[in-house]
Amino acid sequence: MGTSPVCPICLEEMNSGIGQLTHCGHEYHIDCLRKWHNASGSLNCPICRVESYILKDMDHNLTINLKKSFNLHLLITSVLSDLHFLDVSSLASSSDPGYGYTECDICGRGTRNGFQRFIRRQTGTEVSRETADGSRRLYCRACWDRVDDNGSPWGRRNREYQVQHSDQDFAAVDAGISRNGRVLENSANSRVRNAAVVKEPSEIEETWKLLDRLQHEQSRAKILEEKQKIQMHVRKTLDRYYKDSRFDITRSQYTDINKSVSRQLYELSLYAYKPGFVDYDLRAETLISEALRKERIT
Amino acid sequence: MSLKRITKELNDLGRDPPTSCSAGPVGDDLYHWQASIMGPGDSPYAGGVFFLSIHFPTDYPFKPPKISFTTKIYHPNINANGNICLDILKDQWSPALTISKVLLSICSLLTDANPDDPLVPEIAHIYKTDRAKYEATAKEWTKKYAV
Repeated sequence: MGTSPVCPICLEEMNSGIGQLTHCGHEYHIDCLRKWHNASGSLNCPICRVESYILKDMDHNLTINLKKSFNLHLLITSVLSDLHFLDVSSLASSSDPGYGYTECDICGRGTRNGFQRFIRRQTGTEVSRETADGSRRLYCRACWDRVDDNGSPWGRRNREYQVQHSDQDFAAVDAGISRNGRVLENSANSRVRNAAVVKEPSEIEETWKLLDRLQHEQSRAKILEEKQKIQMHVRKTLDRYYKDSRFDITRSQYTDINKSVSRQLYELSLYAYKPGFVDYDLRAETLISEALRKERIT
Repeated sequence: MSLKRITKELNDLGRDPPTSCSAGPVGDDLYHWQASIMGPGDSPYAGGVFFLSIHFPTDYPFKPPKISFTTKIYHPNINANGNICLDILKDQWSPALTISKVLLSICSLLTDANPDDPLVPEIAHIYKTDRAKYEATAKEWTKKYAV
């Protein structure tokens, strides 16, 4: 038995990826817990069965409200694993007007690309609304939840919102300039004093930071995995030559050839591992013998 | 994940076996186990050994295992096919439960039947109205099928 605690779901040791339900204090692998949430359709703790939706990501010291981003983690994972089916660039330039907008009309927070926008839409952390004059407005969910029922963020309840905001935000409102320096669109309007610059709750920010990191880590891991698979084919072929005394390949030659042939194969299959599309063994054979011929000439 | 977790449970059962039950794979298929439960001393099933079959779903532990008695037993919550009416095997399943814990729950179901949520209404009726008759029949079945 190791010293690390054991995840009650997979019964494996918990060294990383740990999440704590703050309501009851029970800890699980975040992946295991989210799989359970998805399978059970609930947010109940497996041990005490109590609904517990504030999850602390212990690795990144982030607090995630699972009710606000229900299944976000799972969705991210599933979308990332299906990424090759998605043409992300087409999302960014899609004719759907929703994908064309770049920032929330209230807080000015931008969405960096179509992929993230796609996830936000799916998870309901973003809302788009048709306004009275027919133009489409886009708000992040956090801001939207704080605005008027009639769809206008500048409506009658603004006085209440202002009460919830810090002095710093008031100053920005008075100057008609939002946090990121953007001039509020109705600053010329006399209603400017009622307009609230809504501060986005930090947990949403944190969730997105986590998503960014996950997306980055996962794509990096995937690239590495595919490269390694290609390298296996190259090694298999190259090992044969290496063991054959007639060729007399040095260790450094082996490394160089392995590297260059693997890179060529990776480029050849358009930066992915496609065993159905490219016969790696055959190609490796050709490229290696070519490389060996060159070695002998020089 | 399921296979890893099942293997883990098998190892844990070997290292720290529960007192009144045992369980393990039938053959090479780790998803199909056989288990045995000794009839609890304070129940009419005392002295009997009851066999059960366990089938793990591929998405175990997110879905409950399918457990049924292969030995005939006279009990309000267990029917003639060996199906068990137990909440933790249905909507009250939790991935934090293990086969060992489930078998212990089945043991306590043998001691304390739940006639208000019966699978066999006739047995539940007798259990509630004529407890002596229920116990006698349960003892008789135990002797006949489980000894």
